[in-house]
Amino acid sequence: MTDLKRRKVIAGVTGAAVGAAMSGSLPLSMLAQITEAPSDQETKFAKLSAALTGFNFNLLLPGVDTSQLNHEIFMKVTEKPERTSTLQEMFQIFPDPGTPVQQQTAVASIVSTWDRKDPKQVARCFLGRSIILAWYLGAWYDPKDLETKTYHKPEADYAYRRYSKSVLIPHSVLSPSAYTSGLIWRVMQAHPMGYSNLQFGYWGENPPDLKLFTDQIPVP
Amino acid sequence: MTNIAEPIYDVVIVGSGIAGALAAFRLAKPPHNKKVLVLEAGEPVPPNINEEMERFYRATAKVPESAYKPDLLENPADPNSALRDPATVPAGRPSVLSLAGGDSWRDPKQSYLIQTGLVPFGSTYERVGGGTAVHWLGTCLRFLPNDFRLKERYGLDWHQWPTGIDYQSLEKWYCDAESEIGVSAAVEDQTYGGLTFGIGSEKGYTYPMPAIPPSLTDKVVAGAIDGMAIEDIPIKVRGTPAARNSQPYQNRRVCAGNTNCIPICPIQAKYDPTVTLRAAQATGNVTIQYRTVASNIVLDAEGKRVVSIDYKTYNPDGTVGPTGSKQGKVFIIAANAIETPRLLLMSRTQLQRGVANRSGQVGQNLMDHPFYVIWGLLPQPTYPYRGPLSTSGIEDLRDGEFRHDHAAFRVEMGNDGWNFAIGGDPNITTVDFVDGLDNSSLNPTGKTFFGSDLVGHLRDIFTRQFRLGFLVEQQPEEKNRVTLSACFKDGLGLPRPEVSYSLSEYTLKGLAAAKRAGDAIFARLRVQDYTKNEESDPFVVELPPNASGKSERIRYMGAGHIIGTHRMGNDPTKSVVNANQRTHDHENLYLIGSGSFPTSATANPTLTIAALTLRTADWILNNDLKT
Repeated sequence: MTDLKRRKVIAGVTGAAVGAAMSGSLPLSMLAQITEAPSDQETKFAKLSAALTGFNFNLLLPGVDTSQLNHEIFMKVTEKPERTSTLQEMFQIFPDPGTPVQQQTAVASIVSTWDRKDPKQVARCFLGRSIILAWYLGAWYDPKDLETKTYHKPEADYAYRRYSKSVLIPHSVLSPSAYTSGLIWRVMQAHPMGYSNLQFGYWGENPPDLKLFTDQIPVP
Repeated sequence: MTNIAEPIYDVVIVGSGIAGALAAFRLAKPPHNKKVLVLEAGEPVPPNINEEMERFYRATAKVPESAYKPDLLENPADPNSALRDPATVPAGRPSVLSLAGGDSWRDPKQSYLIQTGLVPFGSTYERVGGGTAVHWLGTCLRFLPNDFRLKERYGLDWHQWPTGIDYQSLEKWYCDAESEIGVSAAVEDQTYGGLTFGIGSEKGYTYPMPAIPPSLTDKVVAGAIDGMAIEDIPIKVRGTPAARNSQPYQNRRVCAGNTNCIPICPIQAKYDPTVTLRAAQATGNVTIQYRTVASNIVLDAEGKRVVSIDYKTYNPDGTVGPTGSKQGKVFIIAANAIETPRLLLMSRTQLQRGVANRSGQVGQNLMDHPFYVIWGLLPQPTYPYRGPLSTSGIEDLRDGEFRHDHAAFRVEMGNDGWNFAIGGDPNITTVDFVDGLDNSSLNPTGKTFFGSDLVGHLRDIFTRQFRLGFLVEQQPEEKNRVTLSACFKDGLGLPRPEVSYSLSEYTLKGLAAAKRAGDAIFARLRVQDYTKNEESDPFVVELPPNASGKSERIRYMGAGHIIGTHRMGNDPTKSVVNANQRTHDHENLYLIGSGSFPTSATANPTLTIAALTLRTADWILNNDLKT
């Protein structure tokens, strides 16, 4: 089995693994797979992602990565050669090691501005935005689609904001695990719709502090 | 002629939704032990919900149908895939996706229903084991006493509920239904609009389970609006009775607040009809035949009794299977208020107008609860996207003197932020702020965010999102009707339902009153209103002019409440079934479900469907099948 396929298998069992890991009953063999050290490229990708998303690196790529979301998004980004080259350009711009300010400045230069005269910059900008959305929503918004919609600014495009294959920006859910691991649920201080490990009646109380959702490292 | 190889069932039921499932269980369980056959058009109830959960998680548009077979898209893995052409689907169903903008609601290649009305009929349904209530919200409101006497009380010249059907006579069946499906509520929350509980009982009535706790949003809203008056009626936030476990019940777990009652509760803490179907099958007296589409009701030579039901089948791969016919002593059609009249109208081999249609009323008086949704940002966080999708509502406007003039309504309070209100949050708003768009209307200058600024900005918005939904009583009108399409067929070659729908002046005035109420509540709560209507949206309608002569336009949606196409009544020339839901025309044919309702009232219909179903099952046991 190739590394990619084996990784996908791991991702497929993540839902079960999370529960099992939380309860301390994770089989040792599975734990070993999940704790396999990420490649340098994937580690660098997680650092870049931390600056893009505003989340703690250790949350995006914990020592025991039960969600495998970093790996999943990295593989999605690099499944096309042109995107791999764009990512390498982003790595060159992104200072690692670097101070938080240096890293924020670099990331701002990637995703905040774009100039149609510079196709490479445009590609970096929208790939950066795709990466943010993948982390937040567990879904893949192709950089080309984001670029097209932004060029056209379709405020008057009624069909665009409604349920349908033709009315949303086309996107696809990366995987069930990616959906439930999306960062947006943490930003809301909530849980994925359709995946709650909380107790009856919790909805009548204030949630834990935001910082716990953005910085807390999941406990295996 | 009787085929000795083929049993004659005591009861043949078409449809395994909440009505069909409850009827099957009630008839089959000891001591009655009637032999029941259920013909279900859709796919079987799966052994567990893992596949449905995965289908939901992977769905790009998490619409009510997204968890269930058959797939809505030609290629579910392709985000650009077209909808499946309903002409190729053996047992098709309407989908929210075919109502999503533009003219798709009128396009027979996208819409299973052939819509020919002035405005779209916005409700959808399932054809699957368990029926549409596999993805119901679980709201279990009773009808109010005045809902059954609109003519007497408010002078509305509408068709009346038959003798013997009023709140007082239904109360024991409401209690029975609440026990059967498991409802959580507190009686003290439900004492409004003339509702009574436990009259004649020494201890008084208690719901099967304690109330579901209110959400933070409920508490904040109650604190601000309890006691304010609308239409001179003081309003109050009340817990909504829900088929959702607040204690372990019927071997099902307590609600864990997955915020996903629609499309699917991951732990079945919310009741759905598959619970009853399993119980029915466990009696050993119920057979369910899936992927079986009833196509013709066969009568005896005199046309008085039903002899058998013909059906078509299809295979798991969608290819057409063998046809057949089933015989029984009693027949119950429980296929929802569009598929039931469709079957009656398709059954024309012996009667030109179709079965049970001497009155000509079959298919007429189609109703829904036109659903007006408003959304905005509260001044402070109340942390939506947590808890059941809705835990409270405002029920005081379900009845009042205003019903002389305009339709009543109830208000459903959401715990789901802007999720469905704007067509798919959290995605819509998140994409806006990452890619500089403004589909949410929250980002008019097209700013982009990343990093900790993005976290802070989205957190500020999502934790304050709030929405209200207004379910308006719809006036019954004969012109709103289900007929058979002359041109368009489904994948089995059967004519598809054709629907003509509109909203009357009385109903539109009810929507206008709902808008006034919504404006007043939002103002009291200091909500920043982001509700938007698009002129090109076919669901946007013009309201009657207000006191100052101004006309406003608002958008309605379907509530998923399909009502009224085989109404009850005393008069066989003006109604299809009697108070027992038995057809006037055929002595062993019953039609059950919200199609029997002469009026829609404002309560979500499922509890009343269940109560009337149990009453009808009892009637059948004590009359048709009395031993």
